[in-house]
Amino acid sequence: MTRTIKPSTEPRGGASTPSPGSRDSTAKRARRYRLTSRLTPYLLLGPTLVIIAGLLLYPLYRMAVMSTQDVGLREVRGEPAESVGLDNFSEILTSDTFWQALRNTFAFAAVAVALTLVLGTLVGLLIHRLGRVMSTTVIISAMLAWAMPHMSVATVWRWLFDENGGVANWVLNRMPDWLTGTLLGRTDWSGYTWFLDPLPLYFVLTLAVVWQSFPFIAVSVLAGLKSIPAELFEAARVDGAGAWRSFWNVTFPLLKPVFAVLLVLSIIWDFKVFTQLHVLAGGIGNPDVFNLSLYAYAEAFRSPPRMGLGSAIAIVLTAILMVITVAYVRQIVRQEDLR
Amino acid sequence: MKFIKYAALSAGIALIATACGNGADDAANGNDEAPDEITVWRLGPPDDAHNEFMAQVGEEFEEQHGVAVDVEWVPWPDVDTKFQAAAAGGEGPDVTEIGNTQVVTWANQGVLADITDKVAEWDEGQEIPENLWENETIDDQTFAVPWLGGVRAVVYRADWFDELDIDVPTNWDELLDAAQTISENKDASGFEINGGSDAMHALAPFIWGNDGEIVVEDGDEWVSELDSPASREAVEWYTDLVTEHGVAPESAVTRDSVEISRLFANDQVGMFVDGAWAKSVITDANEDLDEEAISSFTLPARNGNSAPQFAGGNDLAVWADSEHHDLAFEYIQLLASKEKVTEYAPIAGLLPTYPELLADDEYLEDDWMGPFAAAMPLGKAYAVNENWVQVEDTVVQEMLRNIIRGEKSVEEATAEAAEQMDETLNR
Repeated sequence: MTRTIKPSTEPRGGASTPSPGSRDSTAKRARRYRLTSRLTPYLLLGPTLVIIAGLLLYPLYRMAVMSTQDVGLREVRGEPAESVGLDNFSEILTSDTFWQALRNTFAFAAVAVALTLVLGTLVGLLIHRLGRVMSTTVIISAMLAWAMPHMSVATVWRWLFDENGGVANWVLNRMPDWLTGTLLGRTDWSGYTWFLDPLPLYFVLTLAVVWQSFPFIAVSVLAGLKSIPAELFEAARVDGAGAWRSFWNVTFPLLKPVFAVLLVLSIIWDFKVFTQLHVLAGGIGNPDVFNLSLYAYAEAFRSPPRMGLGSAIAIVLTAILMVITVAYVRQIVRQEDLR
Repeated sequence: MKFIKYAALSAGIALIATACGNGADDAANGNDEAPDEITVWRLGPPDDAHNEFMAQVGEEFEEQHGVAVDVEWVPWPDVDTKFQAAAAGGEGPDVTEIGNTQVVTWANQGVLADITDKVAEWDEGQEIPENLWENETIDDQTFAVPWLGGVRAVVYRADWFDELDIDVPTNWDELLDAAQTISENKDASGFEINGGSDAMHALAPFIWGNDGEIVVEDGDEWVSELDSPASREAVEWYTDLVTEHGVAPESAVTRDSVEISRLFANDQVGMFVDGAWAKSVITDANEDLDEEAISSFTLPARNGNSAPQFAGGNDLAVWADSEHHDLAFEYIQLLASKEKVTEYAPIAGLLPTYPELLADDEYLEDDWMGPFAAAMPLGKAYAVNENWVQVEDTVVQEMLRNIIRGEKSVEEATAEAAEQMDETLNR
């Protein structure tokens, strides 16, 4: 291709306009120049790559290797680990705890991601409409929730739902019996424990996680909204579109890339939620309420530790996340291409 | 320019090389050279009395050996994590306290030093009775020293017993009567059951008190007896306290003894099973409860006499990665000497392992310690197996939860628990 438009490229190449006498050295210098300029990006990337390889790729590689071995503390302390092939994986796949954890993980992610995105978007739209003082107040309050350490948030929610002193049971007890009875099938809430069965526990977990993660969505959506020219909304209004239609026909299509990123991030976060679950479940004593992260942690770090098994669970979790994200991102990219 | 780069590079390599070299030298020569300090890990939450005692022992050790002692406290729930991190990183203390059922786990992971020869040469230590070394000995090698013993008894509200005219129960029928009387009159749990991290220790005396077994050794294998008729009967009686008689709430299945102690301190519990250390937890939570209000009695077996209790204990061990094994054991000899044990056992709410001290009237005649001291000779152990801790952490809790919440019958739940136990122990 380039050959056919030779005239335009000719003046640029040093080698193609040789000057007598210095012909050889110029060519050599040019070649070296081209070599260095081709290498420069790699040299600049080098340090970063080394760090990523050291901190990310190597541990990942180790995890993959460990997932095929029987690794306890002795092996971590330097004794050679015995290879067990795919035994760890077959042990996981035949264990009831794994399937229960998988169900918990998926159900929680689906509910929590949906709620976080919907609530976050609504709050983002709200802030966009507010005046300066109010929007600042709302943003700051929301960001405070977001900035809280996971550990503290989970602990506070655990207290709110405490069976004896918790405000949740107190409120439920004060509500009319016919209401709580028909809705929740229970009228006496004194001493009701929220953290034993998966369903009530994950209900509290969802509250805690959504409460803390919607501010990020709200602020990101708000940033997106600010970039949409006001004329578009005006035009939509003139055409008779209400809030609902103007959202789906103007805001959503324009902010689609933003939502795509937020969705993928939320899925990743909610799939591997750990700290809050660990606090609410009170450690690793109750396998019924494990999700995959807590299950992996429990196997790898209980006493005596089974790090091979833990690694295998982590690999499965990673694989699931990869499949979901890759499939989703590909779909987004395709849609972008079509337009 | 080039020269400087090469110089820097070779200097770096040289540094790394010497750094490695130093490490190797240290490890090889460590035992000859006395350190400035040894590190000791104690488990649990310290208070002033504990710290004072440890400081005093440390000073005495420094006078004898010219080596200071640095004491660090590790909270019980963090023990596993802390030990694992220290073992994996090759950095740990010189001496550590350790729960007696955990010795086999950590010894098998190569974390504790073999101290068989050192124990053989320790005169005073020969007086510790044979049966107390059971948890510490694996294939004839000794990995820890039994330091203080902890058996459980029933902790009860003596003032309520007086007020409601209840006598101290001597069998299970009387125990149930007492619990029902309290529940009816006090708006509190008559007898609180334990479903938390130490649920096994609260349940075990009931199984043994009904002539059942939890786990027995059969050749190379450990076999669970939880599904035997005697054990099932005991489990049924125990869970009926909640499901049938309502003298304990359903939410009890989430609570460990520390949480129960706090409820007890807040007038919400009349009786529960715990060790003698419970008293300080209770009085810390409510200073108004005095000698008159809290007391203890030995848990009876179903038809009278005393039920056997889990022989819990706090051991002392030498950390395998320590470079000063000899010095570490010197410190253990001091801390576990009769003199120090006599002084410290009452502070810790634990019992001495020396029969001579235990026979002393100071324990048996004491209103509070007496029932615990009386149960000490009836101490029993579980399986000496490295996976036992896992059974202790999850299996019984799940069984109790399933029965009390009505999800499984006693037969199903005990059968399942026995199966899990067999599988975990013989993995």
